[in-house]
Amino acid sequence: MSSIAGIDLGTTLSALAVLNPIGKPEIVPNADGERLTPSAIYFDEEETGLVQIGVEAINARHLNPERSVRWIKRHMGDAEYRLCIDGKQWSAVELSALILKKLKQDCLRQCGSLDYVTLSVPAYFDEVRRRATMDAGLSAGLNVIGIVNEPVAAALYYATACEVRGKVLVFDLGGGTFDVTIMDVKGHRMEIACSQGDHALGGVDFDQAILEIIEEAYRREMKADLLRREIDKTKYEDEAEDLKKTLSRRPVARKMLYGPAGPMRFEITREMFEQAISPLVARMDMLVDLALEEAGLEPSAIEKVLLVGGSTRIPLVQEHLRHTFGFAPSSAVNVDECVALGAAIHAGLTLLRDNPDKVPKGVAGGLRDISLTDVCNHSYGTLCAPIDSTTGRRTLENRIILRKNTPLPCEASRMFYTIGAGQTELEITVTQGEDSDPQYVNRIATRRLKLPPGRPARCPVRVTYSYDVNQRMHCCFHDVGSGKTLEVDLCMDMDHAAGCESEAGAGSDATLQAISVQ
Amino acid sequence: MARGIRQLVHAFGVSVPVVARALGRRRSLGRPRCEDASSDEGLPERATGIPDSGREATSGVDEAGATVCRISVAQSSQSTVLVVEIKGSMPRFDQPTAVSARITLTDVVPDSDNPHPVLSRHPQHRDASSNAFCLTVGLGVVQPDTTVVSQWLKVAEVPVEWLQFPTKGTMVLAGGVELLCGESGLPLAAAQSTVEYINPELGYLDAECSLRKAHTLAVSLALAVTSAHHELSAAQVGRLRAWARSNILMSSETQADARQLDKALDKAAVFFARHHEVDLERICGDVATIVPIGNRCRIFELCLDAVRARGFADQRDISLLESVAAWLEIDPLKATTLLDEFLPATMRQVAGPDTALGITADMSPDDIRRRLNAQYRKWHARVTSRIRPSVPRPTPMLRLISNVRSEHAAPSTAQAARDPDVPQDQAEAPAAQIGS
Repeated sequence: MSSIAGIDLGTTLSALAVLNPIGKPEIVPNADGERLTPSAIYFDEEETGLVQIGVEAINARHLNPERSVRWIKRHMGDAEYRLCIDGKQWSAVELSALILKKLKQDCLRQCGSLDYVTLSVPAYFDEVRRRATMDAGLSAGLNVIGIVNEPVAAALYYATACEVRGKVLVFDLGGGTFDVTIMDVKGHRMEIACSQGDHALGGVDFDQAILEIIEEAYRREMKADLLRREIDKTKYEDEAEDLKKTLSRRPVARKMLYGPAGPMRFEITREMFEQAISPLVARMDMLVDLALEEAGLEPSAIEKVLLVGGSTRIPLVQEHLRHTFGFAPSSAVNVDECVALGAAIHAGLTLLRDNPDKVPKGVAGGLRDISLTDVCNHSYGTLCAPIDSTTGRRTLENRIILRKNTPLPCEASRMFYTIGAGQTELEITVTQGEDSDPQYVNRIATRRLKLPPGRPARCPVRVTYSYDVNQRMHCCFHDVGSGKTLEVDLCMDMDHAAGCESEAGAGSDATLQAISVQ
Repeated sequence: MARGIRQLVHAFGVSVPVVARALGRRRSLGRPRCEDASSDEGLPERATGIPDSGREATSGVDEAGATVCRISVAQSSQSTVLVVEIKGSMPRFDQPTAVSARITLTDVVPDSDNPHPVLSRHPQHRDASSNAFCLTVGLGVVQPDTTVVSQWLKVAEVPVEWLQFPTKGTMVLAGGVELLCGESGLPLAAAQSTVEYINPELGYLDAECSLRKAHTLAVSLALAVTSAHHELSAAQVGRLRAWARSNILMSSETQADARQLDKALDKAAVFFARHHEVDLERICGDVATIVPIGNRCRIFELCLDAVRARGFADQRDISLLESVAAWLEIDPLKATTLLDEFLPATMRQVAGPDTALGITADMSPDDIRRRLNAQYRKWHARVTSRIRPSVPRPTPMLRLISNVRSEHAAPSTAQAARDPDVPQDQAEAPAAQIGS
C-alpha cells in the first residue's frame, strides 16, 4: 500500500503524519517515541559523518554550540547563509534536508514505506523559500508531491476532525513564523479567502525578549555580563524558553542565574513578560487587521478562531484575540501537530487529483468529500517605466498583474506599451511582492523579448500571468503588433526548475547520502 | 539678502549663448540667404535659388531661371501652419523622374553667424544627425518636358505643433527647400526664404535658460532650507555640490569651471549659514514661475536629500519642508509621499513617535488603528520581502509602528486580571483550556 505523508518542517519542532488505511491522518512518533522532533542539529565531534537530530541535538548543543544549529527555517531561501562545520559549508537547504532525512528514517522504521510527501511552509514564504523547502525534501530523498501553506494544512485538519463551519480565522503562531488565514468552511469544502504572514515572528522572538530581561537584570544587580560566551547564550536560550512556558501557566516564574559575578535569584512576572512582548503582539494584531481588511470582513463576521502553533499558548496572545473577536479562540486539537496532520490530508488530496490510481481505495474513500480552494499567496507583477503624472518623469515601477489572494486557478492580463520609437528589445522582469517600489519586490525571473525594428513608440504588449492549483505559474509576454511571444514558466517541480533559483549546490545530494542521522 | 541670491545666481549663471553655441554646433544647414516672402507676384528681388556650380553640373538645373520658395504663416482648420511653396525653373530630365523636396527651418538671429535650428517634436521629422526639423515630401514624377513651374506650388503645410522654436516672441524663420532626385537622392536645386513668426510659447532656449536659472535657485533654496535651523554639515554641502555639478555645469565646461562652481557654492554656504532670514517663499515663487511641476519636484527632492544628509530632521525641518512644497505648488499628497520616502519616521526627531507616524490628538482609536495598519501594510511587506542584500531592510520603521500600536492596544491579561469585568479564569489560566 502507498504511504502518503505530510511533514511540518517547523522552526523549532517538526512532525510527520501519514494517512491511515481509511484516510485519517496520524502522527508517526520518532525513534524516541516522541510525536514531535526538535528541528535541531548537532554535528558529532568524535564521529565525523554522524549528525544528531532532535532532542539529542538539543542536549548536545550545550557541549559545543559551534557544532549545533537551530531555527534553520528562518534562513530558508537565503543564498548567503552558510554554516561551516569541519570545512564544509552547509546551506539552509542541506541542513533542512538533514532534519527531513531523520523524519523519513523514523517513518520508514515505523511504517516500512514513505512514498508521497507534502511539505508545509508558512503562507508568507515566497517562491524562492518554497523552492528551497522543496529542494530540501528532494535532497533528503523524499518524493515531494506538493507544498501546502501551514495555516491551510491546519485548517484542513480542523475542518475534517472537528465541527467547524462558516468564516474561520486560523491563527498560526509557531516557533519562528506567524500566519493568519481566513477561510470559509462549508462541511468538508474549504475556500481560502486570504493569508497574511510574518516569517520573522514566533516563539523564538518571545524567548529573546525574556533573554534580554534576564541579561539586563543580571547586569543591573551583579554589574556583570551574563552571556559572555556562546555556550552561555545557548544555555540561557533554553532557560528563557522554560520561563516563557511557565509564564503561560503561572503569573510568576523564577530561575537561578549562574553568571561570572556569582549566582542570582531571578524572578519574572507575566506583566513584565507581556510588557516586553507587547510590540510583537501588536504586530500580530495588525496582521489580523490586515487579513480582515483583505477579506473584506469585520471581526464580528468571524465565527471561529482556530489556534495553531505552540506560541498560541501565551495568555496575552489569546487575550488579544478575545478582545478583537469578542469570544475565546478554539484549540480543540493539538496545536503542535495539526499542521503535519493537515499536510498529510493535503498530500492525499494532491495524489487523488494528479494520480488517483496510486491512492489506496480506503484512503480515497476517506478523502472523497474534502475539497479545498486555495488562493494565490503573493502578488505577481512586472517592472515598467510609466510617466509620473505629477513630475512628468519616467520612473521604474512594479505593476501588479496577478493580485494576492485571488482564488486558484487564476489568470490576469494587463497591457503595457513600448517606450521609444525603434525599440528592438524588451527587458522583462517577473516580480513577486506588493510594493510599487521595485527595490522592495523579489525579481523572480528576467528575460529579453526581441521586437521588430523600425516601429514607433507605444506598441502594445499584453502581459498575461496564470497560476494553477499545483502552484505552477505561467507568464506570457505577447507583442500584439508582431505576434511574437515570450513565455516563462515558474514552478515548484523539478521538471521545470529552470525558472527557479536554487541555493543548494550541485552534488549536495551525494554528500547528504553519506551522512548518518540519528 | 536678495543681493546674496543675486550673487549666487550670478556665480552659477551660464549665459544663453553658451546653450546656443552648443545647439548651433549640431545644426547641419549652411548660412541661409534670406528672402522676403511677402509678395507672391513674380520673383522677389532678393530671391535666391541659384544653384552652386557642383549642383549645376550634376542636376542640370536650367540656368535661365531658378527655383524659388516662399514660406507663409496661415491658419488651417485645426491649427496654425507654415505653408511652403516653390516655383520657377526645374531641372530638365531626359526621362520621367521622381522628385522630392526636403524642407528645413531655422531661426535667423540678426547679426549673428549662429542661427538657431527649429526642432521637431516628432522623431520622423528630424534631421538624421540632430533633433532639427527636416521634412521630406514626394513631389511626384516630373515629366521631361516640365521645365518651369509658373504658379506657386504648395509643397507642404507644417503645423506649428510639430515644431519647437528656440525662443518665445517674434523671430525670423528661414525655410530651405531642397529638391532631390527621388532615385539617387542627389540635390537638384535649392531655395530659401524667410518669414516673420511670433511664437506664443516658451522656446527651448527659454526652457534651457529657465531651467539653468531654476537649478541655480534650487541650490540656493536647498542651502537656505538646510541651514535654516542647523549648521550645514560637510555631507550636506557634498550632496549639494554633487547636484550642482551634474545639473548646472554643462558637459563642455572644464575642471576650472567646476572648481569655480565649488568655490561659489562654498561662499554661498557661508552666506546662508550667517543669514537665516531668507525669503524662501520668494525663491520658491520664482522657481514656480519659470519651471514646470516635474522640475519643481526635482528641486524639492534636492531639499529633502540635503536635509536627509544630516541624518535626522526635526519638527522645524518638516514644517519648513511642507511650506516649501506648498510654495513650489506641489500637490500636498505628492509632497507627503516624497517626505515619507526621503525622511521616514525613523529619521524624524519630532515630539514623539505618534507625531512621526501622523497620529494626532483628535484621531479616534479607529482612525489610529487604520493609520497604523496602513503604515504597517507598507513596511511589513518591505521587511519580510526577500529583497536584495544591498537594500537596507527598514526594520526600525516596523519596530516604531509596533511600539506605537502596542501603546494603543488591548489591555494585558495582567490588567484584565485586575479588571472586575473580566472573569478571573479567563485572565489567569487560559492555558488550561489548551490541548497537550
